[in-house]
Amino acid sequence: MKILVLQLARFGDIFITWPTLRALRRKYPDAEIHCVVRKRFAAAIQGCEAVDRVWELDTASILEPLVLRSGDADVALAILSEWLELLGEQDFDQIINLSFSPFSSYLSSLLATGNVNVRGYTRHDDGYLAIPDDASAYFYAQVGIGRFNRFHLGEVFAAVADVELCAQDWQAPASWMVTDRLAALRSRHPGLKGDYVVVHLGASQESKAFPPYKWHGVILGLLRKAGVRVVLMGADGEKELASAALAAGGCEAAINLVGSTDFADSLALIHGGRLLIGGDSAPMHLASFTPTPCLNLSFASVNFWETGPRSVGSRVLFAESPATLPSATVLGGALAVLAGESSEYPYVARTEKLPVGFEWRNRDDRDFPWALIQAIYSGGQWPVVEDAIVAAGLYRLREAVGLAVEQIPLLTKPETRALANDLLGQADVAIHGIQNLVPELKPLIAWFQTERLRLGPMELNQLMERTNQIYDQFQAILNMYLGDEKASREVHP
Amino acid sequence: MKKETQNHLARVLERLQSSSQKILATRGYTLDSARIKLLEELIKEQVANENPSASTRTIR
Repeated sequence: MKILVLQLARFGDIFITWPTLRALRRKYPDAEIHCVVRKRFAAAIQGCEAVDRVWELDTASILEPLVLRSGDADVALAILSEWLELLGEQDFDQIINLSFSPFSSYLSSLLATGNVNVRGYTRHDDGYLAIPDDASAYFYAQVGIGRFNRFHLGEVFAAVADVELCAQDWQAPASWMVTDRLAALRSRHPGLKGDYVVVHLGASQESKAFPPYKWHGVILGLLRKAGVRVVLMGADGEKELASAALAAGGCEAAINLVGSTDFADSLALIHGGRLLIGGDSAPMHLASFTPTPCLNLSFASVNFWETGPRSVGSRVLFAESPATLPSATVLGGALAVLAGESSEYPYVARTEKLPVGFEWRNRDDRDFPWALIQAIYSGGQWPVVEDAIVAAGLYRLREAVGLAVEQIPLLTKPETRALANDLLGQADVAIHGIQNLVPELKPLIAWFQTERLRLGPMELNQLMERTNQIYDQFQAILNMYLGDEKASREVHP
Repeated sequence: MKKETQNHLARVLERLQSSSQKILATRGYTLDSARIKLLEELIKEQVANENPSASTRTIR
C-alpha cells in the first residue's frame, strides 16, 4: 500500500503533522508512506522516521520562468507537469491532504487517478471543491483565524487522516539523539550545565513579533530574578533581532545562540531547559516533542487553541497585538511557570484533559460559539441562548431558511424555476448577512454552508433530496431553540 | 517577495486566468485545465497579501 500525505504549509505545520505520520505508520506498518512538502520548509520533515520518501515542491523553480522570461507560462506549466508525472507514477492507494488550500485540492485531485482513497480537500470531476470526509468538512467550517474551533491542529490532522494518536507520537525522533546533542551543546557552552530558560525572539510574521525592547525587559528580568541562565535561539535571519534585544545592556550573562542551531540542536536545547518562551513559530511546535513547559506569546493573528504548546504545564499569554502585551506581564508569567504558581494576569493553561487541552485561568470562559460547535459535531448539549441579539439572529435565520425550503420543490417546474432560484439566492444572502451581524451563530451557519458545498455534482432529484435533508436538519435546530412541535425530534446533525 | 515581482506575477496570473476561462468555455474541465488551475493557485499564493502557507489561512 502506498500513502501520500500532502503538507504544503510551513515549518510549524509540518512538525504538527509528525504525530499523524507516526500514527499512520502504526496503523499501516507495511505501507510505503510518502510526504510532499515545500522545498523551502523541507528541513522540518527530515528525521521523521515514519516517512519513507519526501517529495519537495520547488515553487521557486516552477515560477522562475514566469518572472525571468517575461511570463512564460508554458515553461512553468511544463516544469510543474513533469513533477506531477513523477508523483503520479507512484500510483498511490491513499492520498491524505493536510494542506487545506485551493492549490493542494487541485494537486490532490490530479494525483487521485483510479481507485484512490482521498481524504482532505480535493476536486470533483467538474473542478469544484470536494470535501470527502467529515473531519475536513469540520476544518473548512470551523478552523482558522476568526473562527471558534478549540481542537488542536494535531488532533484535527489525525482526524482527517483517520488515525488515533498516542503519547509516543509526540516524542523526539530517535535519530536526532537529543541527549547526545544536549551534551555536546553543554560542552561547547558551559553555561548550559545549570538551569536555563530558552527564549525564541523571532516570529514568522510581523503581527506575531514581540518587539526587541520588550524582549530586553523580559531577558533582564529573568537574569535578575529567576536565578537562571537565559539562552537565545532562533534562525540566522533573527540575529539582528537578538542584537537589538541585548543592545540596551545588562544582559551580558545571556547566551546568544541565534543562528547557530539547526532543528535537532534546537530541540535538544529546549529539552534541556526549564522553560521555552516564544511566539507561535517553529520552536514552539518543536517544543511539543519535549516535556519542557512553554510560555507562548500569542496574538490575534493566531488561534492559540489550534497551535498552542502541548507539554503539560505550558501557558499561553494572549493579547490582541504585541503592542498590548507588557514585558512585565511576560516576565511575571515566566516566573510563575518556573515557580509552578498561578499568576494574576489571565492566561490559558495547558492541561492533560482531552480533546481540548487548554483552559482559561482568571477569566470567564463562557463561550457560546464553542458550545455550539460541540453540540453540532460531538453531540454536546445545545447552549442556552441568553443574548437577545443571538435570539433575533435565530429568528431571522428561521425566516430565511423557511423561504428557501419553500423554493426547492419549485425548481423542478420550468414556470417557477427562475423566481425560485432568485429567492433561494436572496435567502443565501440573508443567511450570510446574519453570520456577519451575529458572529455567535457563525459555527451553525458555517456547518450549514459546508454541508451544502459538499453535495457535489449529482442528478437533480438526488440533489434536491439531499438539499432538503440539510435544510430539514437546520430547521430542526432552529425550531428547537425557537419553540416548535418539531423540537421533540432528534436535532443533532 | 518584492512588490515589483508580485505585480508582475499578478499580471501573469490575469493572463493565465483569461486563457483558462476560454479553455473551460470551449472544452470544459479537462486534465489540461486542471493543471492550469494548479499553476494559477500556485501563483495566487505568491501574490496574496496574507500568509498563504499556514494551515489556518483564511483562503479556503
